[in-house]
Amino acid sequence: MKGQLYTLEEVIAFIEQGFTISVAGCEELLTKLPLGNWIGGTIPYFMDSDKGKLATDLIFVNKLNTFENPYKIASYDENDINNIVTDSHDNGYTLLIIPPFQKVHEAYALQAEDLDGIYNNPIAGWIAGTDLNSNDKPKTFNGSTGEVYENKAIAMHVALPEDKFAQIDIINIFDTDENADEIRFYSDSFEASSCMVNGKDTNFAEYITNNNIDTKFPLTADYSGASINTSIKEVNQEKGEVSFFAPVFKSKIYHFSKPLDNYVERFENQTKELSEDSEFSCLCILNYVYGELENKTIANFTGPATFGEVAYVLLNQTLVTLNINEI
Amino acid sequence: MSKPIKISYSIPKPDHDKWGALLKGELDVSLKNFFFQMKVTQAANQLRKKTTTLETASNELYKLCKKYATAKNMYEDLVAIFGAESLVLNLNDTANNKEEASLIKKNDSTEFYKKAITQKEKEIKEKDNLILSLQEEITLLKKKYALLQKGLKNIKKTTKQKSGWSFTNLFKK
Repeated sequence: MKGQLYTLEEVIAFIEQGFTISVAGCEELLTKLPLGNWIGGTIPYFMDSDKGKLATDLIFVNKLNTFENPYKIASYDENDINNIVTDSHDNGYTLLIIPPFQKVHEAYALQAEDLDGIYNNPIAGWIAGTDLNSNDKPKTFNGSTGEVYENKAIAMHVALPEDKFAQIDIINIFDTDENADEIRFYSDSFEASSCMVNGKDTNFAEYITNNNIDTKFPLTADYSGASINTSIKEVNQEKGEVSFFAPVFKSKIYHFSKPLDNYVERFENQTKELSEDSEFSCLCILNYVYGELENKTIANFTGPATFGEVAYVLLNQTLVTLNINEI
Repeated sequence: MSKPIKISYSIPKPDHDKWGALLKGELDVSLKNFFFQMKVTQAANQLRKKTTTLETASNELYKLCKKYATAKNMYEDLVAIFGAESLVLNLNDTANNKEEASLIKKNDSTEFYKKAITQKEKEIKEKDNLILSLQEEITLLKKKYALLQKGLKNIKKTTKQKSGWSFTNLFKK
């Protein structure tokens, strides 16, 4: 795999040698990196080639092939995140890192799938995070200026030669349970109190509790054959509210996915065919935690375990890869 | 070495009925290419909300499908929508040399593919032979290395016996 963990000294050397890179690691380490051709975000969980690990002394690096074409780095807040489409090159891809639970996160998650031109070029990326047991704030980094953000997304727009194109693939190990109840929500939102279950108005928090639903398994919606997950963040019985790691949309029909016995086996069945030359890849922290991936490996996959994934739109509990192919 | 064989094909124009049927949800197809799945979903939503027209949506989709024609599962998805007979193979683009181009001109695609397979088989054989010869070379080098090591040990032993000093002691000094 192209992406892997390196020591701080090694990453500094890459930057000084002029490599264009995307990095993931702890804030303490990322702030020590010199100015250069890089973007980054905080996260300490990784699937490395030897095993899944929490690493606070290493930095995960994806060396990006820019084919000596121009690239540009831009930061976005909730007011200009939609420019991400027009800022991209005619043919290329965009790597995007977003800080979680900020307005820019919400704005992108709610608007991305409706943005004109969003599918012209792949937008792949991840949601920054921290050690789950810490109170640190997730950050994003613009390596070309040294700016560090708590509330801005950072993107690198890479141009590709005419004979190449970038392609995103996702691996979703969850299957929609077609026999499960049909759930519809009343608004596009990261929270829901009421919803319709099989056409009947229902409190969603009560529904989950009364039916003993295991919220480790996400809601899924069909996007013309692609199964897109929305993970449950919290069920608040007192308020009668459920919050999500990605928004639910009123235009979609949701079902809870089928429970899984073996995460690693499910991943490995699907990652066998992944390219070993992926330009970038990441997977969800929920897969890492629920799947107990620490000290385990997944065939053909390395990358940060993040607080959400971007494959054009915001995803949950999914593995995302970006590859460069010949036209 | 010849250039890799690429199969390119022409996609039915945006005014083909099936584009409209796909976007209006009238086709019972489950797409496999991720970009295609997401783009079709977006265009279908926009049509429902009337923020786009069928003509604009079909044009956009056609243009992007052309761009991603060689992406994983795209050909299979388009076959599922239009049928294989509607995707015309552009065999001229795949020709490696004049001979192949001439076969294609004669519309003898069967002959062309037979030749292409033979050529690929030949390339595999050549690579296999190369691997074999490299393996032999490695074995030979390993043998030479082992002999040298053995020789060096003997020299060290003899020198120590004769003069009472060793290479290690020399470096220590």
